[in-house]
Amino acid sequence: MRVHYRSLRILTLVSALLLFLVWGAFSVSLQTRNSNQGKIRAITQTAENANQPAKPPSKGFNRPLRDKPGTTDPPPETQPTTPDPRQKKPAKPDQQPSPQKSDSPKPYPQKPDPQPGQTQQFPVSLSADKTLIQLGETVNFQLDPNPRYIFMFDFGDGTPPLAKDANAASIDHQFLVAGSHPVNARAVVPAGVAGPGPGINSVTIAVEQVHLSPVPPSVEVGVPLSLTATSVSKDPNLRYRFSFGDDRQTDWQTSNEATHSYSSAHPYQPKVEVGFAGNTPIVSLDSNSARVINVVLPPSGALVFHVEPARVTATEPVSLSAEFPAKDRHLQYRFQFGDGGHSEWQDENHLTRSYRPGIYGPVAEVGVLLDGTVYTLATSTPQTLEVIASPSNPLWPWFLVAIGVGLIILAGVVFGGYKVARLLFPPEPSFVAHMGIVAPTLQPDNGNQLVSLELELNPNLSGGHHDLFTSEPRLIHAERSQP
Amino acid sequence: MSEPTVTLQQVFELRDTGANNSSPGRWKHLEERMSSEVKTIKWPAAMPDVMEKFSELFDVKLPDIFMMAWKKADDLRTTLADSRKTPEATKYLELADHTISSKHKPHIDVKVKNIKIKEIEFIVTLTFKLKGFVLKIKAGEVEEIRTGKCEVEGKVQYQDLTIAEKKLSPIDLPVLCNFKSEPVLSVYDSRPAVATV
Repeated sequence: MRVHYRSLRILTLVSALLLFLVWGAFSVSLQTRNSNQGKIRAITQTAENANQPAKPPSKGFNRPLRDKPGTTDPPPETQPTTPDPRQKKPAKPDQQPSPQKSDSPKPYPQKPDPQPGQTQQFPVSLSADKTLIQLGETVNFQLDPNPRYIFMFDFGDGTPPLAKDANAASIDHQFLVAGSHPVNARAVVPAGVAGPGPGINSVTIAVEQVHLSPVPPSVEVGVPLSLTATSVSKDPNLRYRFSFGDDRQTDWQTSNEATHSYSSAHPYQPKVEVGFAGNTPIVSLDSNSARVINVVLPPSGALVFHVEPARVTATEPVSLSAEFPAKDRHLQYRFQFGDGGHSEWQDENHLTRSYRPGIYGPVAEVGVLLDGTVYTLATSTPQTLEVIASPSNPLWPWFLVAIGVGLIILAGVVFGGYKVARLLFPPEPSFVAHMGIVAPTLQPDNGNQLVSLELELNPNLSGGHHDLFTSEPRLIHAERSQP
Repeated sequence: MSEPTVTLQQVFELRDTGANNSSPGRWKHLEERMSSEVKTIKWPAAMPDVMEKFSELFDVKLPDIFMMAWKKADDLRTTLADSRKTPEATKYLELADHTISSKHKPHIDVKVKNIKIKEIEFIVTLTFKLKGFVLKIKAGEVEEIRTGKCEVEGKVQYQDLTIAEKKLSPIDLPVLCNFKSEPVLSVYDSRPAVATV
């Protein structure tokens, strides 16, 4: 009787131990949750392995891809999740919920302890913080509830699946391929757990490229062209860089708009690049080109040149003026005067100039000032300008008459005075001989002989030429002396 | 004492006027030519008389012309040089028959208030054919000429206008031409004679 009593005590202890084990398994099963929709995924758990909920299986079809055969997996709690190289950063605990998320992660559902041999299902939903993104943007994915299982995420953009650690609250992924990408998540079922159910819901992410819109589609040289980049992203870190196709571009800027003026007529194709601030330097993640922009010269005749008046005297200034539609351009004007000179480029579209007598063909030029350099837009046709000599002073003939009369009067006075002097002091011409020459005195002929002249007689015999010709060899034919 | 010698005036008969003038129009033509050339001068009415004063320009003695030509002969210059060494000796040189061709240009400068306004240049060409001339020299100088037979021809011209012309013909020269007390050539040696009108 004593033996039976002892056996009864042992049986009681064993039963108590079994009850303890069953309770522990039930506690583990409470950690799995069902989704709000509760239609996607069910996790079946047995009471026998309820105490090993987080250990992944050593092998299986849904083993994480980073696992290698023969290696021992670390415990899920300490196993670090290898981030995707394009994955930016893990989601922050205080990250704002996505529009699709209705509320914050719910606490695990409180289910009654399962009984040994029972299976229990938890609904899990997959959500993203945004489903329409700019190419290059990062999306944060969350599971609700977040079971302590490893989930493999397939982002549908051709990148390898990525495992979310069991303890990670969410997972981020940067999409670098435009298009519509269905994102799926699948739990890695621990060993001994039944196979996967119908799976978690798929979330489709639409990745859009930036669009560039030029306005207007065709512009004249120097006219500003407006470029607007349109992106679906509202990320404040979005940055834009515009290239205009003429070797000029902007820096990375916050604004999605830019203007540019082209300096020569040519077809250009501007482009915009998109990057995100925070990276130094900013890396271009997306780019797109606009349609070809035709930059043309102004139409002929757009420059109107006036020369007023067209016929002037040499003393009058000539007004040169030009008219040209500005169209938001910083215009400059230059005038070729037609006489070899020209003005400098100037803001004013007019000036005055005086010419010498002649016929000229002045020309006006218009240019646009871009980055300190003037580019010629149009040149006018030469205008004919006739400059005549200044007319004589209308009083000038009277001056001539007065001067002539004065001269006549003066001549009369002089002549009269001379005649009077001749009457008072008549000259007495004389002829004086020298050198013994006969010198008769000549008398005036009716008083008209007024000039007294002098004659110099120069025989100049020694300056003559003399030749002597003899009939004999010597001039002296004979010589005799007289003592 | 020698007789008055013959001058070019006499050879060309330049001083003959009135009824004795063999060529009364010679000065008239010269007057017209000069009046046309010098229009700024109102010539006096007695211009013919003035023109005749030009004849004084030709008051040149023929022996002086002879001496100018003879002194170019080397043998005469040598003889005169030797005579200068023996000044006491007197020599008589008989000259061979010879011909002297002479051309010289006497001129008249017309001045008003000492400013020359016109130069009237005449061209005188002469040819003398001399025979039987004897020179008496002493102390390096020709003291006397004993003349022989002389024929002369010549012409006086003003530009292309002939004032006087002498056909070849003999002329009478004094038998003796004495140079002893007279500086023979100095009178004609480019020293002007001056007349004021």
